[in-house]
Amino acid sequence: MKYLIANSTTEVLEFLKEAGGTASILAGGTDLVLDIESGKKKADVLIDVTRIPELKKIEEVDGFLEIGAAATLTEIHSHPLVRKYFPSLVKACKKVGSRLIQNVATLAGNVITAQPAADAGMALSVLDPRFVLVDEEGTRECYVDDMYAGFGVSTLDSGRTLMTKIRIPLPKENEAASFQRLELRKSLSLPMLNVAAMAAIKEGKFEWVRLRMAPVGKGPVRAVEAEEWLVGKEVSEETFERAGELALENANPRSNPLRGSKEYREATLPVMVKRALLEIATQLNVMEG
Amino acid sequence: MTKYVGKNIPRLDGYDKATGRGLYTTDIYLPHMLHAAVLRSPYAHAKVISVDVSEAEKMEGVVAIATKDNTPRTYFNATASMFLTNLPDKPVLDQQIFSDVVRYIGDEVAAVAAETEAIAKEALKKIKVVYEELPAVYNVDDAMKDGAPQVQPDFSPGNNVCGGVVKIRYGDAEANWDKGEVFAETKVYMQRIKQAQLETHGAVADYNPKGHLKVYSTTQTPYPAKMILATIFDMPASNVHVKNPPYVGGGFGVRIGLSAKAEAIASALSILAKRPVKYIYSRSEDFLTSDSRHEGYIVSKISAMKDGTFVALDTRAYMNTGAYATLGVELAGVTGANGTSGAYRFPNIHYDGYVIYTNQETAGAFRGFGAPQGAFALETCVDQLAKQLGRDPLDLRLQNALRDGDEWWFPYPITSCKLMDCLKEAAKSIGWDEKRGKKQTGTIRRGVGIGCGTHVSNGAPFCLDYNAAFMRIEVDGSLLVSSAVPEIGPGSTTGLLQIAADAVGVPMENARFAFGDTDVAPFDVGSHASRTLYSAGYLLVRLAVDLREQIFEWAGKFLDVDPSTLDLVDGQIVSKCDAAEPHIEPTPLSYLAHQAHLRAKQFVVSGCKAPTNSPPFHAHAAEVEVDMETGMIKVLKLAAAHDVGVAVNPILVEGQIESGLIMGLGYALREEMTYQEGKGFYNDSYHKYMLPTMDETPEMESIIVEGFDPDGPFGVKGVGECGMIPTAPAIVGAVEDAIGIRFYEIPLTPGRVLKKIKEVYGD
Amino acid sequence: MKERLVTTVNGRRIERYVDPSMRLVDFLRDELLLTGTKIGCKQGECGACTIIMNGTAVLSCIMPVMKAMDAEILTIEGLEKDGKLHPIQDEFIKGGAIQCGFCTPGFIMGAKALLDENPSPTSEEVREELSGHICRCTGYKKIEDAVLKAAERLREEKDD
Ligand SMILES: Cc1cc2nc3c(=O)[nH]c(=O)nc-3n(C[C@@H](O)[C@@H](O)[C@H](O)COP(=O)(O)OP(=O)(O)OC[C@H]3O[C@@H](n4cnc5c(N)ncnc54)[C@H](O)[C@@H]3O)c2cc1C
Ligand code: FES
Ligand code: FES
Repeated sequence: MKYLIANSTTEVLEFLKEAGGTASILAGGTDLVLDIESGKKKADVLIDVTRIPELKKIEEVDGFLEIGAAATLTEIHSHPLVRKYFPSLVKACKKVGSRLIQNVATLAGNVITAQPAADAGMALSVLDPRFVLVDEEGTRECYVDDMYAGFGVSTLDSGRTLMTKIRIPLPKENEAASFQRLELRKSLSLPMLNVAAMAAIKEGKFEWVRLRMAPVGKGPVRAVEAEEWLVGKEVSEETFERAGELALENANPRSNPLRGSKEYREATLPVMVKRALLEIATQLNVMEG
Repeated sequence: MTKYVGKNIPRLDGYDKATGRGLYTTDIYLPHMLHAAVLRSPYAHAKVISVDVSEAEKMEGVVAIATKDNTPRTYFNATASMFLTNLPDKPVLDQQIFSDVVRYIGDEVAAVAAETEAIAKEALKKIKVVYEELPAVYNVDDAMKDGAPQVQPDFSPGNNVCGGVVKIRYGDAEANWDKGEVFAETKVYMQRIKQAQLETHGAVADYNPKGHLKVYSTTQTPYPAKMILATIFDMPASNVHVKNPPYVGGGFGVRIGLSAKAEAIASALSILAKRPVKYIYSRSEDFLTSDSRHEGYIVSKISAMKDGTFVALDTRAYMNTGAYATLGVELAGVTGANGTSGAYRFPNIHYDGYVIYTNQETAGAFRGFGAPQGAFALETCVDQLAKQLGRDPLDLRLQNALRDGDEWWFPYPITSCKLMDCLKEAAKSIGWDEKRGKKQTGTIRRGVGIGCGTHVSNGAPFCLDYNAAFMRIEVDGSLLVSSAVPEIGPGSTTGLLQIAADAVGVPMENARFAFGDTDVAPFDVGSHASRTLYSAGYLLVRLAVDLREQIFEWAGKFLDVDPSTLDLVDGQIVSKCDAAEPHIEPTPLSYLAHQAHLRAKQFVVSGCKAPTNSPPFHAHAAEVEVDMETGMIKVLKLAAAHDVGVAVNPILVEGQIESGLIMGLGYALREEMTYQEGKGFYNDSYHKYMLPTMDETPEMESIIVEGFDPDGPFGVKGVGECGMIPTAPAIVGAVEDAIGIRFYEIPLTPGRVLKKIKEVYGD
Repeated sequence: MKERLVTTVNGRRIERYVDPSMRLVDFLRDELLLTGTKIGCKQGECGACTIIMNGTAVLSCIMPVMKAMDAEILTIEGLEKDGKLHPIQDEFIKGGAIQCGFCTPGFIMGAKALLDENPSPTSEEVREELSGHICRCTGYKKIEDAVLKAAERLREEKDD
């Protein structure tokens, strides 16, 4: 195995080209190192992108918050701008493994790993993020639904393409986002379920809602029926409950020997949805938590 | 007056451990050392037809491969049970290093020693094994059926019962049963859990072809480990040296005897390779292929009078011991004894314990050793009886709790008992009177519960218990105590030196405790059964008497005084307070020892003693919060009151209690090994095994109830395991108080809880 | 193929040729014989292998060794200064926060990184921040207390 430390985006592209598809980009390595060991992934060359200054930046640019792909989850959840605009993302980043994991793991990696219930990626998914990708052909932007190819499979080929940053539109005054997680243990445990939501509320009614849940399918799954139904509905307990039930229509959870049976997940998904919507209403001072 | 006993002396190994200097088995690197990896069975039950190592042997860097074809076929029991089984019983010797039959997924088939661990692992892939699969059985009920596959036909002819049914009879439960007026009956299920101690099993074996075997090991019983190895390899015990390096990263019962098979496999490879071999279990091997806690079910029945007085207890326990016996048989005894009947006045007891072989990972010793299972069964039944009688569960316990002077069925007396105080203190700390039985509504509901129990201060009478040790005064007057007890974490070696220094009368600063090494000291059982401080201390206070006598005799002559007037206080030879005047000038022991040396005398004693046993008592109370929508339970507080006699080092005692509380919390709520047929246990890592992390700890209060045990050295009793015992009963009782639902199966995972909530309350 | 690694461990500059597929923990233990850093799982799930790299607590068991390039590494062996224990070490010993000790080096390094960053953590914060460290022996309470005590001492030392 070869280990290359890249100092710039251009260098990454050079290294990738040279390796001709046998390389893999490495960020925190919290997934990749173990995946290589278990044989799930192969790489003859590792390209460490965590020392590229441009990829470490977190900044506000033209109505967007831009998070460099090599920023660690700790750097993200402790950053004043992220704390100010995206408390739900802060909450989710703090849920990834433990502080020791967050100190090296990245949000980009959490998305590209494509585990359905990846917490940070999940909270991010409802914030309408744009992923900036660079490869031989040039630079392009992708949306959430372009990123997930299957269980644990990303559409992005880390042997050819580099994610440089994630751009998130800043929320308006009447918008807020939330993240709920059902867990067997607060740390060092993957969620039994997680739900992320974002909504705009005007005059006590939902203007629009983005609602996603996992692990109930491939990546963060949209609760389309619930999203559509919620538009124009009054912000109330009853509304949340109905939305929770509708969410089930798009959910197909599996049983896990540890993290809950299908039945349990189905029984609690509506509760998580309800709590996610309540969390939004509370943040916007429409209801008491 | 003691100078050290009762004081919070900072533990003596603290410096080594806080600076990273302390060595553990995994830190041993010997010159020319090889690394091992083990090939394990993918089948739950199969005949091993052949093991072909020819391809693997050819690999560069592979030095030796051990299989059933080139290692001893001696039958053994990998636990200390092999040498601690009481006469007239015989230990069950049902294990071999590698055998013709594999009996669970993970059973050992072959081992490779190579220049690096990576090469050893690669070589495993090239070993070709031909298996013939056999039918397998995975649970107690199936295993006991007629025609069930036989896991150990040579050791349980026809029925999979391991070592025979364990029976306890006291009074006459059958004849007196109907004298009772109220009858309670419960059946509880308990899951398999893992010790998950932080240091995995490991050994570094160094065989010298002249016939000497030295093994660094993670065992919690160095001496029995040495004897097991000597038997397996048919070597004189004097040529086998087992040593902790000196530290061991936790034990909790999982390495009483060998550390799974680490020592045996490393030694077998070292003998073949004639080089040192290091074998450290991976975390996954540790989870899947070493002893766990027994899973199973227990049916308890209590016959009582209307006024609540207990008349008789009838218990039947069915425990899954997995593929090999290890300590299963002894465990069934403790389940029945301390576990199900220990803490109450039961004039009549009937207990039958069945330990059943299955094709799963072996179950053996784990902190509490059957008592947590027994206590969960009995405490559930006591709560049930309280409900039937319309009584407060605390009140009913106070009525029937054992107290000083009571008779019981054990072969040793209740030397001291403060169970009543424990119950009252625990209840007070949790706020029992204000909180119990308050009607709860809403999504989040709270409740409190209580449980109590007893345990042992050593292994007797369930197994053999004695130890031997040396004590000497060095030429400069300092004290050296040599014992083969290990230090697996509780601070036993600090506590024992406190005891020794006080008993001899020398300052602790220049005293030392040499431990964990079979070459420095004679036989000691090791650390198990909450025994170390009690049993080794029991011997040390007696050795101290001999040592002082020797010193006084010599000093008497040297100083020309009557030896019986002398005392040794804080390293000074002085006249006893009550000795007739004139008193001698205080003479430093350092001076005296040196003078003795110049006259060809050292003060040295050795001895060997079997201790008595003294039962510790304890009560735990819990407050919980239940989320009715998700089935999530949060423990808000745990209160634990313990009668451990005198606390030699209170901070260390608290450490044991808190440790047990958190383990008990894991047992009650989360920890569980889940079996998947064809695949084995799902839980092969910390990530898949939900033991409590730091942010899951509730408020804890540990209360040491002042006591003194007349038999214990300086009044002490055992404590190491107690914290684990009544925690689950307290938590499950609290859940019932909160939501009105009794759970008869642990752990209370949210799925289990929510299912019941929906059954009872509807959607 | 071996690659050149230059790094600083406990103040000592180290230059070696290493197999880049090696984990940092193996480099520290097997090559530098700094065995104070322990391995409890080698999967990032227990915290026993925690070291401080460029001021941040990281898990050396899942970290490729080359991540140490040009880095400043502090392991448990480097914490005692001039024969004086770091207050965290001292409080762990005094407060009964150590039992078997296998989790201790990792815990202490984690606690050091925490207190360097946040000198006055609340109990909650201590628990949350250190929950990547598993301890099977202590029940955690005495560890929490020791960290809080050490924090207090470090603040006092700073004020003096
Ligand atoms: C003990 C433990 C506990 C965990 N618990 C959780 C948990 O509770 N919740 C959770 O969501 N996750 C959890 N995780 C996984 C989490 O740590 C990762 O998903 C992490 O966020 C991945 O980031 P990384 O920087 O480490 O990625 P890496 O491992 O470096 O990379 C992951 C993948 O992304 C690719 N990649 C990374 N960066 C780029 C880039 N810029 N461009 C192109 N490709 C890239 C890599 O090639 C690789 O395929 C846990 C992991 C461990 C070890
Ligand atoms: S050994 Fe690194 S986290 Fe367990
Ligand atoms: S002290 Fe043993 S694991 Fe923490």
